[in-house]
Amino acid sequence: MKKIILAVTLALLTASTIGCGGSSLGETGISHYSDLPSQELTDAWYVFNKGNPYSSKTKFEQVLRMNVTDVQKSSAYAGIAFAVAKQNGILESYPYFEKALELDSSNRDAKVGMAGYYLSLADKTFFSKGISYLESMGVNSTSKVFIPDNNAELTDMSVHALLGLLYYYNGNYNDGIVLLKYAKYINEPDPEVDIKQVTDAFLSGF
Amino acid sequence: MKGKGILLAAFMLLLPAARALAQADNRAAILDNEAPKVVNIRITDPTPNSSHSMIYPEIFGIGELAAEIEFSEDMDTKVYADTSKMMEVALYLGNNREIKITNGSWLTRRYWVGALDSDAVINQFSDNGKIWVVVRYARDMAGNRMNEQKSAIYYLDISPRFTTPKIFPNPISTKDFIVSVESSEELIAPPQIFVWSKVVDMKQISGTRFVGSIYLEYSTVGVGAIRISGTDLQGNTGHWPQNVDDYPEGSAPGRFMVSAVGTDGGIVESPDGKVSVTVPPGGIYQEQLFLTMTEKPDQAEPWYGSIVDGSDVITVFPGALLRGRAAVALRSEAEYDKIGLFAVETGGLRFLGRASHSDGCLRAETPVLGRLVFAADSNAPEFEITSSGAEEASGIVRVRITDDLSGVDWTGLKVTASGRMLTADDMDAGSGWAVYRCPVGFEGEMVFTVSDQLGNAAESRFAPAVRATAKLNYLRFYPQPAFEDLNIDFSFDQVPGRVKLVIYDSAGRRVMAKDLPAAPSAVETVVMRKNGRLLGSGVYFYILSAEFNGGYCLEWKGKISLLGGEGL
Repeated sequence: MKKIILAVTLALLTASTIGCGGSSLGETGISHYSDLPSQELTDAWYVFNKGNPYSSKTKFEQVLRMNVTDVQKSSAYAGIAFAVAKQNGILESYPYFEKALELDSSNRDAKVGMAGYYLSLADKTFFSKGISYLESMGVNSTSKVFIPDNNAELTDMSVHALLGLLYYYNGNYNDGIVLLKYAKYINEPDPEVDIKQVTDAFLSGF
Repeated sequence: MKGKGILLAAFMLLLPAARALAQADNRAAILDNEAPKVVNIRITDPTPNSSHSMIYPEIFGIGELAAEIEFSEDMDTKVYADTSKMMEVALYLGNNREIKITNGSWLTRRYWVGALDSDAVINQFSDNGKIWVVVRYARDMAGNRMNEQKSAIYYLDISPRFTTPKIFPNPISTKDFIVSVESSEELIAPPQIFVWSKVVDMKQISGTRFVGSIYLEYSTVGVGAIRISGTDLQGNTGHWPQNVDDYPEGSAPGRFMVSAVGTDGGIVESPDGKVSVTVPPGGIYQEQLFLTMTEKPDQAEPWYGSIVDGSDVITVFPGALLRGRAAVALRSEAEYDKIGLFAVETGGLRFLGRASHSDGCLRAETPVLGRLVFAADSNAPEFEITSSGAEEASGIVRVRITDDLSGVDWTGLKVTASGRMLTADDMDAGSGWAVYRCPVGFEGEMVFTVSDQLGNAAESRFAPAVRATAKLNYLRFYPQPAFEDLNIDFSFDQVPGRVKLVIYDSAGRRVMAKDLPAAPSAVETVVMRKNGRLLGSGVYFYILSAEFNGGYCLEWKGKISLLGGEGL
């Protein structure tokens, strides 16, 4: 059990998680791509998803100095939040996630980030807040495929695993185990592969 | 008849030639009306070198002196009954006393040599051996008389002379006593003291001052006498008393009196070998050298000691056994606040201890024997802060502390940076260096305070331009939150000397520390346990510190979170 938790958490929140999730963009769920972000914002996320959080942070900051919509600003703040998480840890990202949700309460990336932040506080009194962010996007259902706004690291597997951890540590063990098993399944459906192999695969990505 | 005619004819033929010759000679005599001149006057052997082997007693150190005179033309060398027609050569001494030289002779018509009467020179000598020769009345072949001519000034080197020796103590209450004396010139070796059947080499304490210690293997209550002999650099030997006839067996002033044999209470050497130096009121007088010198026959190196100066400087020679009569001239009490006892060494004075003063006496104790002086010092040490630019940027500050006299109290050296006391990274009191390292990120002044051994304090301030040059490329902790294992991934732009991770809980308590690989980059796993138990869930703080080759240390701080395993 620990190994499963470790593996999915790594995939969710660490800096260099390999992109092994099986999500497909645009088929289900809510998307904000109709907002037509500026080219600069697109470039910034492209740089982030290429694994250069430091460069992307600069670009996100440049976007904020431009004449963009609140939704675009929200996206930029979310980008900064994830870049900061990679640089200094997710515990330092809270104000950026908060700003992103203040500008656009439907920012999916920011909601996942906020849920991760509450998990990282490692304090049971905050886990329910993280749960509510993820449940608002239907992640509590295994039939829902999570599609991020921009952050490609937020895979369907990792987001379900994050909610599973929040459930588990909040005392809802059954729901937690269900989601964690689901996360393991969509990450590695081969039943012959044990959890240790999955864990090693995650670790080898660093 | 025929023969007479031939002779007459020959006479007649030769007569004109003879007349011509006579006329020529008359012309020459008429033309030479100039006074003859002395080309050179030389006094030979003014510094004999053969008398040093003659110890006794009437050999006065003058060898065979001679005056040599050379003229510019042939001179009248005849001996006349009327001595006023003859050349006169006179030797003059420094006091213008004239001694005529009558035993000279002409070696040629132009060269005269006369021997000097050395007895006369010595007996009537004055003015440091200054002599010269005057030549007068000499005539050339034409009867022209010379003008008086004087030689250059010469100096005779005479035997060294000695002042009346001083004997301490006198009367003698032990078997040992010292003799001090001063010679009139430098000696080739220290003089010797002759006392009864004993011969003792004296020791040089300054250029022409000597002291000698005499240890009497036996002694008899009564009166004894000494004599001293010494040889100068030219080999002339002098004596005290000057003439053997003056040898003062039992007579003043070179006598000493043995009053008793026993222990003298004036010795102040302590059992541990330290010599306590005490200077009582009254001072030392230049001519009063009161210090016992002892030469112990059972020791390889004799002991000597003396006080040689009255200008507040006491010199103690090895093994000096001071007696209570030595003192510097006291000044005001305030002047003695900063007086120490110093050893006189090749490199200068070395502080031995602080002098105390009470009842008008200076006192100090020295752990060493040697030349010691009391001296005042009211100057504080001086700082010289010299760090290279690279060192300073790295926070390394080198400070050199010098003091002109009474040393540096290194134990009292304090260095603070922003009120925080720094400990020296390195210190070499011998060469006066200390090295300090500023705290990371230090901005402001370093404050140096130090005092010398006599309490003269000094303060110096220095604001180093500290900058860190190492760079952290990245630092990652994962997963976040961590469970049991926390992975650390870091990278520096240079190789660190040491890397350390310390983790604190939210209350600031240190819960874990781990040395990480001293590598430019590494991934390391920390098991989040303490005393075998998993740490509780929550937010923790970390400090990652790394030292680099320059000696400076950089720190990075942040938060990590841990989901403890209790609930799983």
